[in-house]
Order: sequence, then C-alpha cells, then structure tokens
Amino acid sequence: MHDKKGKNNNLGNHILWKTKSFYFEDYETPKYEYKDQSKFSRVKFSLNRVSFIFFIFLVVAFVFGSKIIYLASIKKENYFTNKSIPTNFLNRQDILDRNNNLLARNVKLYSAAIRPQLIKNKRKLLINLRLIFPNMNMDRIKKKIKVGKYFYIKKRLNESEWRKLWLLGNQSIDLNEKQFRVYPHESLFSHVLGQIDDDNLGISGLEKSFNEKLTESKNPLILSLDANLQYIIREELITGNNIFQTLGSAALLMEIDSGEILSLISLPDFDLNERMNIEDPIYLNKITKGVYELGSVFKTFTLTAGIESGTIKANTVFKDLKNQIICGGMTISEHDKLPKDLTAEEILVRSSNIGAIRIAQKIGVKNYREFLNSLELFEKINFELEEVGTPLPFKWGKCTLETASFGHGITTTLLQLAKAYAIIGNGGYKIHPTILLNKNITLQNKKQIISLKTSNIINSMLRKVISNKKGTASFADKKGYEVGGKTGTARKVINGTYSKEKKINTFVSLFPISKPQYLLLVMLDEPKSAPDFVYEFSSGYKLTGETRNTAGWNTVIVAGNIIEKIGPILATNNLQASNKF
Amino acid sequence: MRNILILITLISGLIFTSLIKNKTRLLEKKLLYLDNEINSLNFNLNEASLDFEYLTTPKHISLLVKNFLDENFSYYKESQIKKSIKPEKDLTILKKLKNYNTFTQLSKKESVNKKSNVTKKIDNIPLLITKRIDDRQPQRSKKIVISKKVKKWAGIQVIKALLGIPPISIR
Repeated sequence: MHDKKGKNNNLGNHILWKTKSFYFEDYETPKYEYKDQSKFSRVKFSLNRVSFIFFIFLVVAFVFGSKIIYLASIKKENYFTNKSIPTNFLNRQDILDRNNNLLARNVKLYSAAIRPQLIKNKRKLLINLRLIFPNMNMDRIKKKIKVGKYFYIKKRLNESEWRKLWLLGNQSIDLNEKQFRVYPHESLFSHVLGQIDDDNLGISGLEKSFNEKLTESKNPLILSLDANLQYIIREELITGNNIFQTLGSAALLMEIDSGEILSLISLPDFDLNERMNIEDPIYLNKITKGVYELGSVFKTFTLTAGIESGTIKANTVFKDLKNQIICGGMTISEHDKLPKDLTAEEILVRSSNIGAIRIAQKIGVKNYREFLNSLELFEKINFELEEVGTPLPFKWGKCTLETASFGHGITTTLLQLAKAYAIIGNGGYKIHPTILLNKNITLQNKKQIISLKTSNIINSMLRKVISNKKGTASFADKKGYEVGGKTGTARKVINGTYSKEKKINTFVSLFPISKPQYLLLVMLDEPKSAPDFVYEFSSGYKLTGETRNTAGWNTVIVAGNIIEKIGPILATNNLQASNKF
Repeated sequence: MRNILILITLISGLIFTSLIKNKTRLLEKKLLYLDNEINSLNFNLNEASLDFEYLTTPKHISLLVKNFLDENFSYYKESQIKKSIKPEKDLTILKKLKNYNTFTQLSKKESVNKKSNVTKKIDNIPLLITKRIDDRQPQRSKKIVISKKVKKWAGIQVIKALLGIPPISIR
C-alpha cells in the first residue's frame, strides 16, 4: 500500500514534476531558489535599462558640452589687423601693387526689384518697405506697382537692407546679387591687368593669365609694379605725346638685378571700369605685344659682341668709314656728317651706322648670331602676360648681318630689348623680366652670359652717349642720376617700304651707371618734330624751331623728365642708395 | 530608495540636457547674430577701404592738391639744391662735421681728459649756484628789514592816531 502509495506518490510526483516541467522548463531549481533568482534578474534588468538611458544622456551631454567648449575656443580672425580684407565670399581675389595699394577688387552689389504680379498683400508690402527704407518715395512705388511691370526698388543695397528684405520672405521681392570688378586706378594699369567678362573670368592681361590663382587662392596677387611711379611716368608720357604729337607711346621701368618691373605703360590706354571691346591695333600693349625694328639701340649689342669676343676694344680705330653702303639694293648711310676715322667707342657714342656694320663684319655672322641668340632677342619671351609678341623670323646672311648691326631688318619686342640691356648692365647675368613681386631674387643664382669686364666697358660707353657733347642723348644728362643709355630711331615699314616720316623712336637708359640699378625704356610711336618746343641745354642755352625728328630730340627729353621725377622716389625707396647718405 | 535614485538621476539628466540645449541654442543665436553683424561690418569696411583706395590714388591726390592746396609741391632738381646751399655755408657745415668727427675719434687720453673736465664743470655747478644764492641773500634780508621798519612805523602811527597824537609825515 505504502509502495502503492509510494508508487502513486512517485507517479503523482512525477506527473507533478512533469506538469511543472511543462510550464517551467527552464526553471528546474527549487522553489526558494527560483524566487530569489527572479527577484535578482528583475533588478538587474531594470538597472541595465537605467544605465543604458543614463549612458545616452551622458553622450548627449558630452556632445553639447564639447560643442560649447569648441565654440568658446574658436579664435575668430581679426578683421581689422589685415590689410587685405578677407574676401572668401568673392569670386576673385584682390590685385595689389608692391606697396599694397589696391589695383583690382571684386565688389558685391545687391539690388532689389519688385514683380507686381506676385504681390499678395500690397498694403503689407508697402508698410514693410516704408519700415526698411524710411526715406523712400512710396508714391513712386505705388504707381509702378499699378503699372504692373518689373521694376527696381533700389540698385545699391547695403548688407543690412538686403538682409531685412530677405527676412520678409516676400515672393514679389526679387533680390539680385552680382559681383563687379572695380579698378580704383581706372586706366593706369589697363594693359597689365586686362579685363574680365560678365562671368568674372579673365579675358585679357593678368586677369586671364592668373585667372586660376585669382579665383582659387585665398591670398591677393601682389605685383612688382608701383602705382606712384606708374602715374608719374604716364603723366610724363602724355605730356610727351602732346608735345611731339605721337600716335602712341610706351615706357618700362625695371630693376635690372631682379628683373622686377616697376612700371609698364602703353598709351593709349583705356578705363578698365568701362568694359569695352577694343579691336583697334593702336590699343595693343606696345611693350610686350608690339614687334618693332628698333634701330640704333642694337648698336650696343654689336659693340658688346665685339668686345666680349675679343674682336675689338673700346679704342680700336676704324679708318676710312664710307658715307654710304649699298646692301641688297638698299642704301645705308649715316644720319649725320661724321668723321671718317672713329674708335669703337665713338661709333656707339655718335651712333655711326657704317661703323656698326664694320664691327659686325669683323665679328662675323656666326658669332654675332650666337651672341644675339644668347640674349634671347628673337624667340618668344616667357612672360606672365599672355599678350606677348613673337619676333618676325628672318634669314641670316651677309646683308642681314650688316642691317642687324644697327637694328634694321630684325625685329623684337621692347620687353626683350629691355631684358637684353638689363643683362649687359647688371654684369652679364641672365634675368627674366617679371611682373610679380619676389623679394628673394638675387644675382648669385643667375647664369652669367657676359663678363663683368665687358659689362663695365659698355656701361661707361653708354654713359658717354649722354655725357659727351657729341653724344646723341645729352638731354637725359640729369645731375645726380648718372644716366647712361642709347637712342634708336627706326623708320616704320608701311606696305613693305620704309616710311620717311613715320618712325619708332626709342631710348633705353640705365642709372646710376656706376652701379646700374634701374632700366628705363621709353618709346614714342610716330612722333613729329616740335619746332615750337623750347629745348633747354644743360649749359642754359635754349633752342627753338628744331625740326629734327630723332630719338635724341624727343624720346630722350621725355625720358630725362621721367628720370628727374622718379629719381628721388627710387632713391628713397632704395635702402642701399639711401644708406650711403 | 533605488527607484527614487533612478528617478532623480533621470529627471536631473533631463533637466541638465535641456538646460545645455537651451544654452547652446541661445549661444547659436548669438553667434548667428554676431556673424551677421561681422558680415555687415565687413561689407562696410570693404566699401570704406575701396573708397579710401579710390580717393588716395595718385590721380585724385594730385587733383585735390591742384584744387584745394596753395602749396607748391614742385620737386627739386639736384642742381637747384646745390645752388640753394652757399659755398661758405657748405664750408662751415663741413667744418662742424669735421669737428664732430674728430671729437668722436679722440684718443683715449684726450677723451678721459675731456670727460674729467666735464665732470669738474658739473661738480662746480652746485657751488656756483650756492654762491649766487649767497649773493642774493643780503638783498632779501634788507627787504625783510625794510618791511619790519615799515610795520613798526605803521604800528606807531596807528597808536599815535588812537592817542590823538598827530602822525609824522613819511619822508
């Protein structure tokens, strides 16, 4: 029975156990244990949830906290210490001169217009406009709204006015934003800076060649040009143009050691603020783009080639110089009556054509050609502006050698001419003219193509062209500036023949010649004789009624006046020079 | 107790987060406002600097000079500067310069002597001053004596007047 009971009990237990296991399959532990564990897991479960939420809160708090710390630690730029105003919002960067004077800047201009068709509440709009523009004539606006055509409320809005209008959120108000390029110096740098189109993309000058830099860089473009010097030189050129009734003129001022251009002017010029389509060739950049036969300025190269090659010396005498030579059917003669015997130095000082031919003949075609090629006079110059001319090709021969010796039959640009003179003047070091400011340019890393001795000899000869009474450029002998240089008068080629009246008169000068620092090149395009002009000699003698039309009688006058005016500025700006005093 | 703790942490977390969020929102508003203000100022500064650059171009300055200034800003030629200084003046200037140079290039002994002379002179200055003061002293005492006499005389005259004695005329 007991067993039965026991069995039954066992069975019963088994059934019970089975039933239990059916419901609580996973909880096989005794009842008291189960109770404890369930309590513990509930607490644990709730704790996990709390800590998870707390963790999220902590993360959020950390994010906000770190943002506050970040905002507090930001160092805002000081807008007032920088000369150049941050113009991140502008499409193009500023262009500055070497003294940080502004040459070009983009300006944001806002304008507001009304589209009457989209006005929903006319009264509300007028009240808002009255609040924003208290001085505005509302009757005019009412009338225009009545007409129903698109019209401008104001064309030059300031930032706050624009913002207030924008905050109105009115569909009928059309807010326009446009950028304009402003050139404070108007026409002063027209040939250098160039123009931009309606999309703010450069189409000529530096605006084109530095388009990427101006649009992508965060820094302004700093040029080697000097606005004050540029203005003075331009004024003097204009005066010269009026006196000698020229078609145009050009001037270039360059540091001969660095090749940095301080001034580049070509007249006539144009106002950059008034966008215009310039197709007339008179407006081409005469310094970089114009390709000319430049005449006697080439005699300096002939003399340099002769001395450098050892063919001649400064005192080598050339006897029995003829009055004229016939070459290729063309007669070559002297510009004036000259002695039959001349030294090499006198040939340069008195600008003898026949003498230059004799020197070139002595040097030979090969040597002379190689020398001129070393000065890179006949290949396209590598320059920052895109408006660069390519010298016309020619074949070397006996006749070409003769005409080239005094600068005829061969062409080059004024920039290349200036470069070649700078190389001769600076001790023979090869330089590259640049329009960008670079304070680290020194002669030490430059290639020397002419010896220092030859350079010194030629410099002293160039000085005599001006200081000698028989020299062709005595009007440029300005006291204190030790000017040296060479004149060049070349006839223009019109329809394949040399014109007798139309000339290109050039004067290249270096100063102070004892240690040349600057090069000034002046060119007058088709000048005319000025019989009414009073020529004043250094001795005090005055001359009027002069009808000669050579560089010595017009270009040199202009160059002399320029040197007299820019000389003090260059001297004060030049630390090396001012330290001597 | 635990539930209360959890509740407190939850509520405090909520409050803390909302506070931070509010503060950040305010800060952001302020920053936006300041940014706008900076933009506006920047715009004005940009325009002002452009105006300045335009008005200070050499062309405009020379125009202003022509129109508003009576001064003649003509440049001087080197030859003109030379003429303006007379040769005699030149010589004196040169002499002065020479003396100055020689003074600076004096030998050590000479310079020491010069220095001692200068220090002697400086030492003598207080003596001279005291001497001058001494010289002035008697004059001062005389003045004091005079003023005392006057006072005494005036006093006597007042007493005399009070007593009915006729005053003596001033000599």
